[in-house]
Amino acid sequence: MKSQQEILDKLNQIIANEPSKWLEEANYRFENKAWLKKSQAIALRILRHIRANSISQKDLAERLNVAPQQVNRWVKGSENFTLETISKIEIVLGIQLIDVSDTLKKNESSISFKKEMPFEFDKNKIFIIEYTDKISNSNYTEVTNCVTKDGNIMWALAA
Amino acid sequence: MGLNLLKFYRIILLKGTLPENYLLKNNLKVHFMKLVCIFAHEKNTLLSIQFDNNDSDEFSKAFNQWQDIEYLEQFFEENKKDLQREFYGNISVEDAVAETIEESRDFEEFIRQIAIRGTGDNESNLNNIVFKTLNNYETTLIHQKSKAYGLVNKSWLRIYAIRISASIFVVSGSAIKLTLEMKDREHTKEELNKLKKTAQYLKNEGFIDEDDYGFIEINN
Repeated sequence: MKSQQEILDKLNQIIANEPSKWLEEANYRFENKAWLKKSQAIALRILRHIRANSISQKDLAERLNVAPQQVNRWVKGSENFTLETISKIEIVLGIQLIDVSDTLKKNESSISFKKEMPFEFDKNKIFIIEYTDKISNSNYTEVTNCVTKDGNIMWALAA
Repeated sequence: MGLNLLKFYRIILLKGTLPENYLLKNNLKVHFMKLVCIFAHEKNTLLSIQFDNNDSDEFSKAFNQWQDIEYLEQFFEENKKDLQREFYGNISVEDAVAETIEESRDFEEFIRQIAIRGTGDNESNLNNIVFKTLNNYETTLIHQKSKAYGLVNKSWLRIYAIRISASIFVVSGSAIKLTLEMKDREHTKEELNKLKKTAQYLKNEGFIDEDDYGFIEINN
């Protein structure tokens, strides 16, 4: 039975000069984890869609006027896509790859209600379950904390 | 036939070096490979085989494939029937890809920490990674049994290696193993072949004796 050192010495004689690229690649994957995850999700959506619709990568390349190798890079999941490229793919395939539309969606009344409530309330006793811009007496049994402006009710707590 | 060719190869080497084209011309297909270092520390040394027609060693290849969406989507699509078994709860291809990405990321990070620091958390090392001998159900084939049973884990990621000393492992390949037995699928059967070729290579180089090694299956 050889000793550990004997084995290591013998190994050093035959091990390739060039070490594996694995650690370098693993470090890269670790450092770029956040956007790589997104790229992978996009790649998977593209692949599943083209498979379901019998579109080859070559077809997709032609439709987008890019080289097939470019499409192949996309579907591997390590491409740092531009927004422009993503949008073009979305249009050609008719699918959504990423969705940030909610961020800019106009919903002023709820935003202003959530941010600008002009009165304090005991959060242990009262839970907000709904914001609405209409209070009609039939929906609620009690209306309090009215804040009025020029005779109009601007804010109220209703239950 | 394979073993006879290897024996012939050894004889050729003893008598002198023959040019490669002689071997190929006479249809003597010999499996060339080289040994590549992944990392080498006092308590943990991981090496990998790189087969001749490959761009990278088997260990790198494992993690590259397990993070390659195209590869994974194709693989799980081809092996959809296995995903539909009760054991996997009829998981979809998409979910299988997502799960593999996540598991391989965790697995790689665990090993990356050992590579950087020389050791894992709490002084753990490669020996502590959950691994088990191949062929749990065929006790006669494997000589040495390594017995590090840790967490029970349903991960299907496998790295195959031969341990040549207490803390030196040589990776021969990898697989996403969806069946109980390696012999049940072509891609895992091929891993058995690679293991045997690696064992033969290591024996030829004098690193292992007949009674001194075991096939190790490292999983997450």
